[in-house]
Amino acid sequence: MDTLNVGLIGTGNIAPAYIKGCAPFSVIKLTACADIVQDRARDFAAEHGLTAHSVDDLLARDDIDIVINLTIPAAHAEVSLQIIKAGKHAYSEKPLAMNRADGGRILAAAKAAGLRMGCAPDTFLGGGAQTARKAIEDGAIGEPVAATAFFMAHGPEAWHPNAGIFYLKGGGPLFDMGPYYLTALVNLMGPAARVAASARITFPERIATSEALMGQALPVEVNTHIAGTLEFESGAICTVITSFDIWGHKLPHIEIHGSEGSLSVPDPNRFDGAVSLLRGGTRAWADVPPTHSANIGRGAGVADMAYAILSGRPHRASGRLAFHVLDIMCALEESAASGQHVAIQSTLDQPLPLPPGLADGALDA
Amino acid sequence: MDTLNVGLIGTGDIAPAYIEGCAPFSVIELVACADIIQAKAEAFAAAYSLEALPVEDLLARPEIDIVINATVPAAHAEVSRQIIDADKHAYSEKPLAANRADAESLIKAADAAGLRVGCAPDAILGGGNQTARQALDRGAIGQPIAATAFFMSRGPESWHPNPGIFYQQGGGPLFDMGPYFLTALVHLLGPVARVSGSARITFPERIATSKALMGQALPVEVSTHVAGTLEFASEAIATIVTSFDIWGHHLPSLEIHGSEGSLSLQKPNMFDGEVHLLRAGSREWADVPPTHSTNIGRGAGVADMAYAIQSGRPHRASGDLAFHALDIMCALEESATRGRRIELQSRVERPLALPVGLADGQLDP
Repeated sequence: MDTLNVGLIGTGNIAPAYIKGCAPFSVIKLTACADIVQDRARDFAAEHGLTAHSVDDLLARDDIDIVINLTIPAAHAEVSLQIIKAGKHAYSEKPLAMNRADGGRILAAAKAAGLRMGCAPDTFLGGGAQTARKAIEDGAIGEPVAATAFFMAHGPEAWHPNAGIFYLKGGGPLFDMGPYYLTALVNLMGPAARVAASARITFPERIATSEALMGQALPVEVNTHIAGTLEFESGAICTVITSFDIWGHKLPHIEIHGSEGSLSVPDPNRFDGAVSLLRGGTRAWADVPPTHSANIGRGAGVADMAYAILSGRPHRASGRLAFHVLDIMCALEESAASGQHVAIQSTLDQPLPLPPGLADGALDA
Repeated sequence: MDTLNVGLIGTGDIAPAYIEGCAPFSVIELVACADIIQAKAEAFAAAYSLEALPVEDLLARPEIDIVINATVPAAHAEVSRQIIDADKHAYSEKPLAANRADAESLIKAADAAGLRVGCAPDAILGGGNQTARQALDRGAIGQPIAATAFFMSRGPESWHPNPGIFYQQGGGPLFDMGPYFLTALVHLLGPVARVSGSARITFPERIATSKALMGQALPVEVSTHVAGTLEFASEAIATIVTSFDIWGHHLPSLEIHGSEGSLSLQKPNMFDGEVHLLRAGSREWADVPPTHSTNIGRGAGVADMAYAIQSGRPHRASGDLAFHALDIMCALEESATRGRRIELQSRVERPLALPVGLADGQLDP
């Protein structure tokens, strides 16, 4: 298998995780980076053995096949479009875009150019999510009929050095954490068909309690508690909550219920975690022996896209999957505002499950 | 305080629980019973030292003040109306009626006659619910802002001698278990303003696996998984699931989240149950010391109504509360069917909290 060269735009907080996560995969090689702050790109390049470029120069290099877009969320759509326009495959941090129109433009541009668009999160390639997927495919719980998915916390203002952005447009618990949960659900249950929701801005402002921002008032522009139901094309109904308003709770992250049993799925924001199964008619939960390695990290989706480019198969952490997730998030917000259940226009096949028994650093059998 | 005489119509499975639950309260005395099957009434009367009477005779007795309606659900509205028309206070087993119109006309008739309508469930009077209410009212979690309520099981067909009725009109997990969860929520959070829901008939038939009915197919007429959100007049949002489709789960029954902490309750359909509190900023749940006795059972709502009749105060397990719960349940089903949020027409005040420090057998200080 050939190795594809990868460039990276945006050398901020998340970039080191990609360096680390891509390293085990010989199908890709990170070679170059760029940042709007040129010094930052130079420092990052020096630290990780890359070449530093301006964004334009990186996009002009003909030895780069894939460009990872790690810019700030508000810039994702524009930078991804630039990458595609430069004739390169693009892989974006989440979210794909802030709205459906921008997301749709990106997918259309990639399709027209015959290029791949990939998007985080890729945590569903982790051992926890893939073990759960295999259990479902093997019929451990029969036909999935219902699910629950909960992310509930008290927001990042107690610790985050830049907590304010979490409460501005494009932030909030749904757009911040929803992609992990919704991507995991689509991986396990297929596409959603209709959603209904209630949402609120619970507190008009948040008070930072981190050392750096102690006492600072953070204005709130987005819903901080979003609760709803997802009706899947399969007929399954999933209850979902994302909240920055909750001090504590005893709810599990994700549970999938089927005609023959129930499956408890680990934190979808992680690549590891135990899966446990309760078979119909029994009372004891049992751990499901892992079928996939948890020794995998952020960037696995880039490596998977490289395999897919080389072999012509679909890639898993795809732009279409990210668009469907964006569509669900927008629809949840719309339903809460309009009081109507909202039909989801986008659809897709479940991403391919990973084959079991892969060696670390391999994603095709 | 005087003692009010109570008659009981319907001497079926639930009747002994009322005998036992009413016994500790000297404010009421069960004196007579009736049943459409006279022999059943006579056997019951003999067992519990009551007088057995035909329904009309019981209703004609001038010394009877309150009549408990423990007939089959389909007969509740009609029998309660007969009780009111006989100029007696009525206390109905749940549900108050099968539909909103019947419930509303019953309450109107009682109001016009200056009579009380009470309705089960009265588990809100139990130690668990009252201890939580006390914690809430003294500000333990600040302003309540969100809640979750889950009843999820695999239905009664593995053990119930007559599970078929649970899957016919008037049954289902929402109408069977919803009243407990909804009255508990309204008791803690006040009235609901609007609801959204998703629901499904997951399996077209259920297969009984009890010894008596092994293998018998039970047709399903009602939604067996109902999931939705309740938007309270206070703007708090509750997530609710009632289901007969779930083999197992790790969800807590009831949690109430506030601006300053979270409360976790055990089964709100029981009179006992621990309450746990997590204060803002803490990671530890602590037991809330019980403020109210758990030595109380089904029928406490009748005793409470007897106190209320004599002192003129409102009674807690009221027809208004039951009607509001019924309105919520009907609206959840309508929302799922019509694909839009439903505004509730009914409103009710939170039932009065029970005073602390009551002796067993006492409901007013």
